[in-house]
Formats: sequence, C-alpha cells, structure tokens
Amino acid sequence: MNGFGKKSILISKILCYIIYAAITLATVGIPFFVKLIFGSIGAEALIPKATAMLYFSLPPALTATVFLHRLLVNISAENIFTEENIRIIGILAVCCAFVGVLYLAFTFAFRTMILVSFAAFFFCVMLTVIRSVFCAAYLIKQENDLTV
Amino acid sequence: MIIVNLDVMMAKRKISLGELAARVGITQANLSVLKTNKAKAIRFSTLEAICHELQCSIADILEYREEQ
Repeated sequence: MNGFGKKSILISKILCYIIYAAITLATVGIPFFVKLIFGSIGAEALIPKATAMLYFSLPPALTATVFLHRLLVNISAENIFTEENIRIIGILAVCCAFVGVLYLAFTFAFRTMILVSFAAFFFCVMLTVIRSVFCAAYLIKQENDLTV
Repeated sequence: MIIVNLDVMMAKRKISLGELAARVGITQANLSVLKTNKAKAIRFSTLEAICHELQCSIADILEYREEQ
C-alpha cells in the first residue's frame, strides 16, 4: 500500500477513535445536552422524545463504528477483497437502514428528522452497491489467485 | 473439465515439484495448485515454460474430459 493509502487509513482510524469517544460521552451526556438545547428554546415537552431518539441511535452507531474500525484494520493488513469485509459492509448497510427507520419513526415528533432518515437510507443504498462491487472484486481476485 | 496430468509427466522426466517450479519461474505453491487441478486459469507463458522444461506437448499435460 502506498503512502497516500496508509495516510488515508490512519486518518480514518483517528476519526473512528474520535467517534468512539463521542459515543462514550453521549452515553452519559445526552440528557444534559438535550436539556440544554431544548430548555434554551422553551421546548421542554420534547426533551423525553429527543433523549429517546438519541439513545436509540447509540447501538447502531457503536456497531457501525466497531465494524468500520475492523474494516480499516483488515485494509491496512492488505486483506481487502475478503468474505469478512463483504460481511462487514453488509452490517454497515443494515446499521444505516436501522437508523433510517428509527428517524423515520421519530418524524412524528421532529419533522426535520425525515431528512436524516433519507440520508441514512441513501447511505444504506450506497453501501449495498459498494458491497456488490466488493463481491465482484472478490470473485475476480479468487480467479486471479488461482491463475498460475 | 480440464485434467492436468503434470504429475505423470514429472514422474516420466524424474523431476521434483520444487525443481520444476524453480525452472519454470513460478512458486512451488502455484505449481502445486496446478498439479492438484485447483487452478482456474494458466498463463500461456507458464504453459510454454512447463512444456519446454518437460520436453512435451500441451496434450501431454492438459486433457479434456466430458463432465458426467
């Protein structure tokens, strides 16, 4: 892997660690954060719904971050087109779909969440396409590996 | 299906896998893949090198058999 690829993976890993830290902080900080934001605009009635929405987002966020980190570890070890990576991308797509459904359900309380839901579904589709590309690349690699 | 009769020719010429791999210019692992019929494709350059080292024709190494 060239220098540019290694740098890119390093940056991605650092961002993963930042997300890990953010999720850890969010686990304890969500009630205070939500109270601060919604309290300041006089929308105290929305605090429980906002808190629930954000807490429900944590499991898929954590799952996606863990598997994204695993994918980066595999790529840096030059194991790129493998069955494990294809499975990981599938899991990432499922996480995005889960978030899409979650935020779609919360549009009754926060109408703008429809945009977040749409973005999540769009990422799900993108990851599904990328997964298909990886599947094709895996087959080509297998054939290439068994070419003498 | 294509059958690779490399082991037959190697036995006739009394050459080992490692020696043939070194002469042909491929790894022993790759030659083993070919010998055990696990290869999906073979380069012409490899085929040419094998035929040259074993002093044989392609038909001595590759055989077509109808799948049943």
